Amino acid sequence: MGPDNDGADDGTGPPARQPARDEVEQLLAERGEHLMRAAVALTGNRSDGEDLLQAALERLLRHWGRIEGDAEGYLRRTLYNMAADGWRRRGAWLRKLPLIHAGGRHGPAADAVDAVDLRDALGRALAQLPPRQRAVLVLRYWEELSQAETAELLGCAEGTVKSAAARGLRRLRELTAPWDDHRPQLTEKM
Amino acid sequence: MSDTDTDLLHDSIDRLTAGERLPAGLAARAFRRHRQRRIALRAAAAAGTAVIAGAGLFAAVARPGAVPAVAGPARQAPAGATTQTPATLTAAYVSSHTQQALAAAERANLIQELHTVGQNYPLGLTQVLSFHLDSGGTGHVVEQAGPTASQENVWAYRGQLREQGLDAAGKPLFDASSTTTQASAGPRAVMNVSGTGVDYTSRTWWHSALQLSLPAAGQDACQDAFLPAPVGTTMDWAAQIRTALSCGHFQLAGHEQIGATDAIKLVSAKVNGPYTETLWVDPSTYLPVRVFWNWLDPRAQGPGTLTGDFRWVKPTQDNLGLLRVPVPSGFTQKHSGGLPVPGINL
Repeated sequence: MGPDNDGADDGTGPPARQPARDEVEQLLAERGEHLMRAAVALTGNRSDGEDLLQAALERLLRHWGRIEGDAEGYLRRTLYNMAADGWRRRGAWLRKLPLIHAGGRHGPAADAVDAVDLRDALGRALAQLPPRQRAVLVLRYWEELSQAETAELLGCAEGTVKSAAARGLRRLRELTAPWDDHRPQLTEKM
Repeated sequence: MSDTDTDLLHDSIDRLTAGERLPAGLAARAFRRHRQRRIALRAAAAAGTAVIAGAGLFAAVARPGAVPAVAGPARQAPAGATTQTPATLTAAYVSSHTQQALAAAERANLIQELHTVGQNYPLGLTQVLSFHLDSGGTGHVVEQAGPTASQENVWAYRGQLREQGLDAAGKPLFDASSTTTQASAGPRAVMNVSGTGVDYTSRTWWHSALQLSLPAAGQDACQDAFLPAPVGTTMDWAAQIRTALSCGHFQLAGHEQIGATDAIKLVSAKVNGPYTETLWVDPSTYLPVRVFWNWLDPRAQGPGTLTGDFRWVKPTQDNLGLLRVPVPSGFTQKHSGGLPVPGINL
């Protein structure tokens, strides 16, 4: 059973082994902060990151009895795959309001972009990328996984990772064009 | 790629996420939701059996020549509904007739009137000050949140919408109307929306107009139809219910008395994230009389609920007046107000 499949434990089959509270608490104590940071990077803000991590954790609990290997790896894969598949806080209805949510909330502060550091701008621009490109960039450039490792975690081909990374970087360049004079070129890591 | 480039993005993400800590209680909430889900699944499995048994009972009470009803005397079929009598009252039958009734109501130009009461449900008014799509199709918005209400009155009629937000005591907090006309269709529907907003908390009012571009209903229509509540200027409660019915989102759950109506009850046929939806329809007209949303927001103190009671009224001169927002005397006109978009405050 892969992390994307949400069909396990429908309440009608034989009971799966239920997760022990202390095992989960231990996992979160050791890796929770890193996972939370990844979730924030994937969603662009703390609130959505918290929701994403909780949703991934709930999925982990549902599949607990069927997980082969380490729970942390499963939770991490689930987190990234949910993000890459376009998981969003509060579900599908948000897609009704792309005008309000897809681009974030750009208030009058947007006029003062010149004062914002390029690194902050890149972080915000990341949130505007399509979910799969964002997940690939976080895995490649923050988690520092190789193309092969990223492909394995996301369950896709290496070529898909490579093209998603290239497109993501290109889009980041466009979104942060005002800082062209102040940064090196972003190119795909081979 | 140079190390400098790699470091730049790495640093950006580091900076974005710096200081993030695991929120307290996250594991506890996840365990609680996990338990609730297991309980709900077991209950749903049991309820499924009950619904099948209930369908058999309906078949037993259905009489030849009558539109099957859950209880009571034979009733007339809705306008536009088939006159064929099915052998059993099934979810498909009720769904089909309710869709037809809603379509007939639209053709008959009936005004939808809805009174909603929310609990832990942030009904609010947002002003959309500007909106544009970038070249990548991403929407950018400048918005300003307004007052949040605990109940609303909603009127919808042929692209016109009025939503009046009230506090628990019935005192008005905001009032907003809008008129939507579709400028173009296609992958993204472009709509021109003009609106009038009144904010009772600041004693101001304003007019505004905006062009919106939204994804047209596509392959996600069935998923999108299963919403906690219609949101915003372009939403149509009846249309959403029609879509949800056509997607098979409901199953029969007996009947309940709603006011003077012995209504047919339909409940969410499947779990859709944290939302569940219940619909009651009038067995004589098959028009919805009540809708109920339950929204398990993990960050809320308790489950959010929204109960909406429908009325369907003729577009008489008086009733059409319900679609207009009165501006109380003494209120100040704002010239920078944004398009008033009632819905759920986020």
